[in-house]
Amino acid sequence: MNDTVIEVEGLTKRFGSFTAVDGIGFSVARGEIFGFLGANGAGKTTAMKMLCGISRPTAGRAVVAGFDVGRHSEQIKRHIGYMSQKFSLYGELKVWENIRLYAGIYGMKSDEIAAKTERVLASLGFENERNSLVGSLPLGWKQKLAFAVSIFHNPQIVFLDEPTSGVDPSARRRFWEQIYAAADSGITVFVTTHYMDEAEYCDRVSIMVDGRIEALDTPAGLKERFGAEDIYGVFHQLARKAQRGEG
Amino acid sequence: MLKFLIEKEFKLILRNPILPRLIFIMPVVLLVILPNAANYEVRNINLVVVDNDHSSYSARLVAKSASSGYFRLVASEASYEQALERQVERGRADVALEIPQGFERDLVRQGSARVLISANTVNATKGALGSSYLASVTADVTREINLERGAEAFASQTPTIDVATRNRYNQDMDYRAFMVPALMMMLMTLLCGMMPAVSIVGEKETGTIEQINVTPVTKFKFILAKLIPFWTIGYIVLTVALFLSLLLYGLWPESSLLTLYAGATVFIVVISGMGLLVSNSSSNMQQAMFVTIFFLVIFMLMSGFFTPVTSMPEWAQWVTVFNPQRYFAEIMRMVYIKGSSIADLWRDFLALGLFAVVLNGLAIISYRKRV
Repeated sequence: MNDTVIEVEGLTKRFGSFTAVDGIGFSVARGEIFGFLGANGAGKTTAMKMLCGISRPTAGRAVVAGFDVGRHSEQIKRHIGYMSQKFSLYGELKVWENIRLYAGIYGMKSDEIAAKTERVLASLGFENERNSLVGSLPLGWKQKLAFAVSIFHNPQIVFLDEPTSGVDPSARRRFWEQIYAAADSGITVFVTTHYMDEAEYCDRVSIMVDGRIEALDTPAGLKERFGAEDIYGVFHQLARKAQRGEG
Repeated sequence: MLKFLIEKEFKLILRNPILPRLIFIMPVVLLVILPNAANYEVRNINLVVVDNDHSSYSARLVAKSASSGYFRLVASEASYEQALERQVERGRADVALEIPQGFERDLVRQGSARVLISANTVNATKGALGSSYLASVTADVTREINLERGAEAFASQTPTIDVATRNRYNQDMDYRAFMVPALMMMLMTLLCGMMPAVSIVGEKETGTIEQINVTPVTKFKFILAKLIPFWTIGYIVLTVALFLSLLLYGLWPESSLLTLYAGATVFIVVISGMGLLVSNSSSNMQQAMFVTIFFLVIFMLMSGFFTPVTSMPEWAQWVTVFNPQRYFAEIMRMVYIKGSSIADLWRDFLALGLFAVVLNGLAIISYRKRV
């Protein structure tokens, strides 16, 4: 498949004698919404950090946006967007200033940034918040803005690490609309979540247990294979086998 | 890319509720208040006199002491015990002078006489300086009287008590030329050493650094963007301090400004490296502040500004070899007082340069280890 943007083989990360990620392998196609599920401590965040080029794999191989994570991590960073579970835009900067900073970091020109900022703010319905300090916005709005910032520079892939944690259900739905729009424009979305209902929105879902990928299929395929009514049922069957505790 | 990062740093500094005001107020307060308040001169030493001789010579000694400019005659007591009890112990007098019976007689017969000086050294500087001033006044009076009486033989025998070394900071008004460069050094250390360190650790604390780590911003650019704004502010504040001390105290470097700014530049690189080292090993602002202040206090006190390095015990002199502030203190003082050039100060510049290389090298190594 020519249009593969993430290709992972036997990817492993050990911290001393502890194997956080244990030889995982999968591939993600362009424009796909790829869900990455797992209990806390299953190794989701560690795996994602390796794919983003901020953590070096102990063994195995991963190619992201055409670059090897072990050797060309800086190249990868140019072609991805990232949004962490912990809100990490600058609270003391205004909405437009945060956008300008990150767009500038990715090499966009000032006039290009200014023009696109207006379009993005309009599509978010943020026209009146242009000059608000980001720290003063409600959490749901912050998340929306953080996502908009993470795809502002048109990355090939955006990595979302539990983007909707702590957000109310209606804000979560609006957030997923944003994700669909991004996928429609050709951006691959790699998202971790622990909300099982959100897994249903993904094109394909992988479930990690104790550092390994135990299941990987479309939501419908998974439910059929495990004879479950919803993804929660699938997850429940797999997670029962887990040796590692929470956290 | 760097442009956007630097822009962000300036915005964050300006939007901070305290920083911009502090940056403006700090040099003004330090330069206006400290050289005037915290001076090393000891005047107004309270003196109590016990004159058991009641002679013309003893009266002359008392008058001379009182008019020397250092002492304020607060009382005369009938006995030494009374003087201690009623004046010194109650904190009214710092130094007591007792003139024994037969003072004039001994002076006439032998050309010398004994007096008793006792000082309250709770305030050690005041006490020590007070008694040595008094000793020198006494010696002066003795010499004068002997000369008047034509007793040259005695006069030459009279031990002259030399207080010149202790008076170094006191008798001339030049202590400001010591104080002002020291304050400049302190300002630079706070602005270019502590501030970037605290700012970097602040991003660790809020988590914004994690987002930056996933972008193409390299560590080097991130750090450079942190340093450049504070370097700029450091130069501005130094320049303001330079003109402020000219305006207030008429102090201006004897050397060329080039020497001053060259020294400041190397020093800035040194303390930035030190700050980076601190920020790498701290996980929150409290730690970073505490560690910097710990080093700042030791480095300032051992820089040679407050106690000359050569007056320190030998072990302490060895410690100062590893204190970058010592070399910058030397440069600043020579620039302000002596008018030395870079060529004269090459040893200090070399030492600072070595510190710059070693500290920044260590900072880079310790940063990489954490990734």
